[in-house]
Amino acid sequence: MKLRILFLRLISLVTYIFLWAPVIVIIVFSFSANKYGIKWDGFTWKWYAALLENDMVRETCLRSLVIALITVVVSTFLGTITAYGLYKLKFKGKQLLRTSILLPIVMPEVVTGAALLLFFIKLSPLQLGYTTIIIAHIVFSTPLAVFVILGRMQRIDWSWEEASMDLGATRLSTFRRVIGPLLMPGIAGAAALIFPWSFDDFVITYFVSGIGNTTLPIYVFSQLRHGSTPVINVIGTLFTVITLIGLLATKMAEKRSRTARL
Amino acid sequence: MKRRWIITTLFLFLGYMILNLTSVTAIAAEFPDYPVPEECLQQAQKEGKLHIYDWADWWPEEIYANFEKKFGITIVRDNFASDDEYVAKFKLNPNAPYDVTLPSARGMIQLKALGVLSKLNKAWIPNAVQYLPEENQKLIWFDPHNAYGIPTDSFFYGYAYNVKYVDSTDPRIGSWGFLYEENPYAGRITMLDEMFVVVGNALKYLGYSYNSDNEKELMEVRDLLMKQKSRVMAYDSWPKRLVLEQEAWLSNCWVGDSYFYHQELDSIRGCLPKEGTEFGVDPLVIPKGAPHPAAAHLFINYVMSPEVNTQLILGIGYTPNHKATREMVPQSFKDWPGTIIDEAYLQKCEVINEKALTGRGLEMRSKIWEELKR
Amino acid sequence: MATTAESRLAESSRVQTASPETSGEREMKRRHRFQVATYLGPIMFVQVLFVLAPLSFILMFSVLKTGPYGNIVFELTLENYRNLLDTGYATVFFKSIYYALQTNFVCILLSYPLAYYIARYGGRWKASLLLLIVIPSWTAYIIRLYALKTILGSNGLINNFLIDLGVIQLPIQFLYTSYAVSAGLVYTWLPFMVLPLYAALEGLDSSLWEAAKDLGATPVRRFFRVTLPLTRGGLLAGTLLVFIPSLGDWLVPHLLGGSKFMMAGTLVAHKFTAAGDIPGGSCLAAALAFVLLLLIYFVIRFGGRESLEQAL
Repeated sequence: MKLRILFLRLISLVTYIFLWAPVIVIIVFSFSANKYGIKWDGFTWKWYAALLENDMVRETCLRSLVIALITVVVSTFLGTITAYGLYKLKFKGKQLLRTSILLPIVMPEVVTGAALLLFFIKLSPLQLGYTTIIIAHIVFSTPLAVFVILGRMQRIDWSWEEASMDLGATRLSTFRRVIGPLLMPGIAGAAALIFPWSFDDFVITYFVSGIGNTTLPIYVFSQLRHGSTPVINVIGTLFTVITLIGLLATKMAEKRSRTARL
Repeated sequence: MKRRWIITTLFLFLGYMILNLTSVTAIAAEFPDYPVPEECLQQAQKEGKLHIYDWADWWPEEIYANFEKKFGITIVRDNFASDDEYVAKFKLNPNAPYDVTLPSARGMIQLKALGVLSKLNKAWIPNAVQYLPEENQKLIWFDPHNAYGIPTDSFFYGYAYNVKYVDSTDPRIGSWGFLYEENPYAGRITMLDEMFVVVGNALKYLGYSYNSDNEKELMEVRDLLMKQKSRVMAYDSWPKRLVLEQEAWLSNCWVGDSYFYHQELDSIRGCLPKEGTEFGVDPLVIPKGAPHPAAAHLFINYVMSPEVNTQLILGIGYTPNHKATREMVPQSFKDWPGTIIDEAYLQKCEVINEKALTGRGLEMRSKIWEELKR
Repeated sequence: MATTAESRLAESSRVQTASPETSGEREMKRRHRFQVATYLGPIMFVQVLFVLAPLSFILMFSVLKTGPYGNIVFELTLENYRNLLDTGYATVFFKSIYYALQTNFVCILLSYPLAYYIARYGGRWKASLLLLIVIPSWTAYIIRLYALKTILGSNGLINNFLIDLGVIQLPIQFLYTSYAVSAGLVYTWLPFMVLPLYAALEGLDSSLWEAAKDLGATPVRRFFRVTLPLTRGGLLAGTLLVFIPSLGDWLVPHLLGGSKFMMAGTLVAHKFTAAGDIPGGSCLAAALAFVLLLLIYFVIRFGGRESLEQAL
């Protein structure tokens, strides 16, 4: 018994180290004076100062953030109702629908990107721009949401729903009060997956973006010509540190409210 | 009497001022900025905006900032990460509404063939007309008289090597053979991840045309590349980090890039192979349906003015196309291989053409490349 | 569209099925149709407009010809499909499938214990532990791959560490080997396996597990007879999220494999861009999608009919 937990802990630890090692390297190099962010050349703040001056990085970063957030909200919502429908309802053509939901993640990105670009310019009244980028992101991230949330749905005890409805709650309030909270880990998981997927997407965004929509990944990729990443390291560091602080703050608040209650 | 004194002093002072000016300005006076036509300037200011589509972090940022300041025009820039993707985007969306873009020669040939470029109004680009070297012009077969694009710089391929690890007395240095043939640096070699370049330079090494579509010749190249692959560490178009981290000791690159590697790391040397290579240019072009054509012309004219062009060349390290720039760059820059090209070497170089870019030539190259990457 | 006379009633409304009257049945059918439209209408709209319509372009292109400068010529041909039989493409496909399978397998090996640990022993740290898996992926992945490159390089952290320890004399070449590619793929896609697995494990009714324990099942047996079958859905979802994208990944073989070989995704991208052959690329893409759908079908088939219901 003890041994088993030890084994689990060990594997978890190794996995965490594996996942975090590159991030730590990025954080360390964001303070390195080395121009290419590849080795330790002494401590400096100058890349942080450079970030304040570099409009392009800030703009592209903000753009990517907004796009990713909208994508996350819309896709998880769409994913939740779709998963609910697929789980609960039986109808003709369900198999077809399931297969077609798979398509956007089955296709290589360059193909989805090219196909969407052609569609937008030939058949749609939409101008290439934020709308088309967000639509494209929703298209390829909704399937993720559907699968993760479906995975959660099969683990829920659905008798709660029946009980709630038997007690006279409407379907909507049942969903809000009973099923929603039960689904929450799945929905949160989906959101956590979609965010980086959308935030990092390069190929599809590249094809469907219009004028002045350069997102962070496109900017970063096009910077590869000279392979210098100190400012990008700074962005990575800031993202990580801000999320970690947020996490810590939530924990502290939780702890305080718990002690306050006691 | 007093008056004469004053005049003499004034003249002396003026003379002193003139003597004091650097040689740069002396040459600049020889190549003055031609005045921009009033019509262009007015229209550009009315347009007020400029959509540029180019590489990020390549040209010095001040060029864009100074242009904005000088003419009161807002620049919106989008960036791409490879010529191929960029051409693919224009192929799918010929009406992409950019005003100025910066393809390489190959990109420009493809864009022109797709019919997406518009003819330049040369009256609005007086700076360019004056300064383009004739010997380069002759080679730019795809754009006679620079009707569609103004090449801001030229580029040549070669390799960079690190004398800390590579024996600099090796007699093969100076030839493509050093890179392509058996050498003691297996696992420390990087090649550009560019199909046309790797195949083309191998053809040059074997003594054939860069653009060959001859099956026998290309098969020889195929064998050479397949043998070389076991020694190659990576196919990487931007090996800067690898070179500076000293992971790679021998790197196929744009010769201009090696100049910058050297600035960062003393032990890096550049080589422009004696067999010749591709002669390429980076032209500024205006796509059809550009929403702000006057601003686009104004920008091209601005980039081709002596000072700005010098600033650009020193910022990117490539071969200047501009007579004034050639004189204005410092000696240390001129001494680096590949920065100033003489007529004799230019004769050995070729511009990419339709034999490589289309039909059998393209098909064979794709096949070789796909086999190499299997 | 989806409902006809044959359509069965919604599971959820089955409880209420009481009266056999035709008017009642019609009412139910109407409600059912309404439900299908509300829950699945939006996704159908998105699918038809933004997936099927655009992809039909690709199918159309796959039977067209390429012009001299890569422009698309509107002439029907099956030549692209004939070219597919070229053995080279099969090699690329098989190689990518091999790497994707390997990635998937390693991801499962690492994620399952991790997800299991968090779900069962995470306690109030559950959310934090999960976030710690996801947060690294919020740093642009290309930068993380560069960092990974720095770690794996011959002057990198691992080699320096091993040399300092005296384990090795000369640096080992990790970078630009197939190991680096595998490591990179696992690194990139690992979170996408952990989360669905966690979601599945978290919902696991621990009473089931206790019951199995009470009945005297050994831990190994409990795992294989209770836990694993119940999390099959999560496992399949994770597999879909890891296997497919890693098959199409182009950045990892490019950055960590030194572009020395192509994965299926790279090959299609190469066809679209450098080779300038959009019809040929479309044809390859169609073939790839077909192979993948077939593969997924078999995986799910293999997983059993009911887990098919669960996973999709």
